[in-house]
Amino acid sequence: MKTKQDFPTINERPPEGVKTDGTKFRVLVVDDSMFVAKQLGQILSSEGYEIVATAADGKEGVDKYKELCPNVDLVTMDITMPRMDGITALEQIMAFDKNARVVMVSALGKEELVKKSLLLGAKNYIIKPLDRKKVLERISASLK
Amino acid sequence: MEAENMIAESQQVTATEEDSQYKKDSITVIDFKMVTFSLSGKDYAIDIMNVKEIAKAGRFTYVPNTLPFVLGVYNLRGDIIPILDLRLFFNITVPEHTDNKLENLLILSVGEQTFGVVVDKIDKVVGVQKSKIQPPHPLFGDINIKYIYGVVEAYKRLYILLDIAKIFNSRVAGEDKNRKLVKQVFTQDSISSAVAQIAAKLPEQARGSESDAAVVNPQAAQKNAAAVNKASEQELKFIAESLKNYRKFSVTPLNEEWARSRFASWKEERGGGNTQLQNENDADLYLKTFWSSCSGTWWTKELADAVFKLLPDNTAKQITVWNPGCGKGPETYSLACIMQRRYPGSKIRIYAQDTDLLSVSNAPLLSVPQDIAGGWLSSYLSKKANGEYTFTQEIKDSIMFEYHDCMNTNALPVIDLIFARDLLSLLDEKGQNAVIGDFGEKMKGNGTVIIGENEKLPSSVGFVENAVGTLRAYSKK
Amino acid sequence: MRVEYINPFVETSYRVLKEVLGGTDVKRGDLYLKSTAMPVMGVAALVGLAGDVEGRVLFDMTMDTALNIASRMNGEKLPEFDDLAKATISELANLITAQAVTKLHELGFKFDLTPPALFVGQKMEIAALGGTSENVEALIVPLITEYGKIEVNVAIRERT
Repeated sequence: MKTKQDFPTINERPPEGVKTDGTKFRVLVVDDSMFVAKQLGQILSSEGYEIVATAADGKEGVDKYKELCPNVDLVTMDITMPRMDGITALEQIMAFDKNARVVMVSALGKEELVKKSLLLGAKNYIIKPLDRKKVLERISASLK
Repeated sequence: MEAENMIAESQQVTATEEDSQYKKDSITVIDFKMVTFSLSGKDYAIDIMNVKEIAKAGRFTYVPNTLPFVLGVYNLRGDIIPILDLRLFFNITVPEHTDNKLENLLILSVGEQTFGVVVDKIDKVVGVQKSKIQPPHPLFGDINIKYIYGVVEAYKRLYILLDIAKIFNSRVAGEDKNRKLVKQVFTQDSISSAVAQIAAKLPEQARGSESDAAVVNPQAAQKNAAAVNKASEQELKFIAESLKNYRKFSVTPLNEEWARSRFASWKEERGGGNTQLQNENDADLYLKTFWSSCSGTWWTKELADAVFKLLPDNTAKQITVWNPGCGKGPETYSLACIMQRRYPGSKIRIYAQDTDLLSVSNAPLLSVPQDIAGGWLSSYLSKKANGEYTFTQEIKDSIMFEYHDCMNTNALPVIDLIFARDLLSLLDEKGQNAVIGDFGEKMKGNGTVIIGENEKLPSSVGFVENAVGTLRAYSKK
Repeated sequence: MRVEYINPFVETSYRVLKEVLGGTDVKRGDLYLKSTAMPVMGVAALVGLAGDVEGRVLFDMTMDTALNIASRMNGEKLPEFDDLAKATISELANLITAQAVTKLHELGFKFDLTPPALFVGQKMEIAALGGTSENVEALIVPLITEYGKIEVNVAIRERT
């Protein structure tokens, strides 16, 4: 007789943050808000991603990326930050590593910004406030 | 009015005079009906809109632990309603009644609540003119004045009109909003001015009787003249107060000239003792001659042409206009069209402001009614898909509607033209001075200010008047 | 303030606040204009505006309200107004203003915003634009939630 154990459940699907070989995807979070960094961290960790570092402004973000490369699989980038904004940071990271995977995470949904970031090489654009499902979908899609 | 009557009686006015007065009253408009009844011999009345029905009832079911004026509850064809005794409520003597006698009940409803009220005797339905309802005078009731909506005379009887909503305030969900508005004016503060009003009328009446008899003594005549002036000044002062209360209209040196000449014509219209403004209607009637032509509405071709002629030459690339108090916008749009016609080569920028959020928010989308659209505005209009007429994009782009209080700091660039018709009079004196100060500050040296036809900038401000027809324009000295 | 700017701010404040508080009831108070030095209720988040206009949006609330809201947004009860709570309220200000700016952008008005600044203190007053003694006129949008009242205070000036 087949029991419940024999049927695979939806909950048993592998966490998205873990690669097929078992290692975790490494994410660099760039956002000036401690709250957002925490929120993103929570969402991603719960799906198995590993947050390797956080940066509080664009400049720090670029520096950290250069430091950690190639041990970073994905970068989440805020746009409105002091010192250096997200668009400029994106530009610099893409110039440094054309295979970098950057996902913009911002409250500003201006069409021109979205277009600009995507043209510069960003893989995706997430609009705040953060919806767990959407965030995971987009991050996962960007890693394919 | 009542004081007048009292004195008239004491002077033994002839019967014929009284009758003709009564006849004059009976031709008036009946727009308010009330049910009259008596409590301890005095006549009271309640707005018929509050009276559901009249009934006679015997025993009520006593409810324990209630205030003494709550007699109990009663079954009115299925509905259980509370019954109150107004006589006990107002602490007036209650005639002895036996248990078996049927009481007179007035079934009232206020908002959602229905209840019954016991009275001595129910009389009849009386119709009066709403404007004839006077504010309560402390002398006229021996019950708490806050429960009195007003007093009114009808068919030679004086009725005290009760404010049922006030009486049952704590129990009732919401008050009758209209009443509240009117009540606002007749608050305790202005009861004192109402008393003062009546006191002011007393010497006038006394004076009236004196001048009936031949005036022999020139000294007495002079005293009379002085008394007349003083009384007139008082009257004008009270009128100004009422204008402020009802329509936020402030009488200041700006419009004093008009206010005085209007007072003279108003006195003629209304007759000697009846100059006071009793309600919003009166205030509107008084203000009727104040408003500039087409104030707050679409301009006629005549006005448009007059303004066109008035506008000075200006070859600047950009012309800035300040239009405070734009309301819903029709004047602003009319002005924009004229500006475009007068200065075809320049970019027009009109800052149109108002504190009425609803009106000014809808102004950018204002459509022109069919009958106006055919007039001189037609070349500036375009037809929308749904058949409505709106202004061309060019006209719309020239106007910036703002939700702004002109008494606050004005963040405007230097201005070529200020169009503020009939606005200043609706600000209080301090506000008027502040805004007039801004006129001086913000306006370019060769700029023009246009204010209401019956408004006048005080000469101390440094502006020179260049009136054109009825339009009041000023430029800097 | 130009009437076209009003609705985006009113709508987004209401919508975003409702969303981040988990769909709770938010009541909108009547709008009105204020032109005095703005005394602050205890916690104020300020976001600068630039572009076609200059100005700022100020989010004003009491310390209690700020703590309640920060706690709700983090999903845990914060005992004191620490760095995390501060970052949370700043983020709230950022979210509301950014969405309003996006909406205005769609309407054709090019605004930009600065990162938020947070002020905490007793008896504070936020001075006028440009630090002059002139009192600036601001539109007040009161929002009442079960966590407390927030006043969204918008002062915008056309760049002439």
